[in-house]
Amino acid sequence: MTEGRAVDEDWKVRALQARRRRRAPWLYGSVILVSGAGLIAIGRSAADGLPRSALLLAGLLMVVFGFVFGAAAYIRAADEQERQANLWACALGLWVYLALFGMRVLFEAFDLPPPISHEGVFLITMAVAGVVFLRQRFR
Amino acid sequence: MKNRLKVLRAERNWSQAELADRLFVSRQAVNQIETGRYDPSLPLAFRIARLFGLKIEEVFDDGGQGRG
Repeated sequence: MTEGRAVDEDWKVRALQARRRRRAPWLYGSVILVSGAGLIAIGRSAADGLPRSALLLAGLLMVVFGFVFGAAAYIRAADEQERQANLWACALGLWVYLALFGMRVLFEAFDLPPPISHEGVFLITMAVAGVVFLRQRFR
Repeated sequence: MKNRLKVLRAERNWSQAELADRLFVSRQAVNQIETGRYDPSLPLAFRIARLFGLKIEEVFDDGGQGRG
């Protein structure tokens, strides 16, 4: 009886750990990103000199590390269905990016004004990836 | 692919969240497997079958696809 309860409690403990593991990338990634952004903000308002450069560089490195660490930890902690949703989002986002970027290159090759800016290409790509992810994940 | 996950879960009075916790996946994953919108990987299918004490083919039915 006790052993049965122990086994029953075991999955609860492991489920709690799994849930914490899934939340950790968001928590720690956000803390690192916000800290990095804070350092950059302090650096921007500081007077010119070595401390200012050091603050900006440290902040930039923290932001990059936050993104890389957060993304890697997120993919490791995500379950297989969420990974598949990410796969669809990245694949379709990539095709949209290639189409839009290719269109820009063609227009420029013929000395025509591109119908879409670099920012537009970025925003549409991200929007498509986001919509596809949400649809695949929560449909 | 059809499956009996919803029935098996209901027989045990488990919510989707509880089943998800027992399988160490998200509730969304359980919901999509139950409604046939997502086919689990082989390791997850084995985990599901083991959890209910059944064989994989007693939980999932591929409708005879791939039979030579």
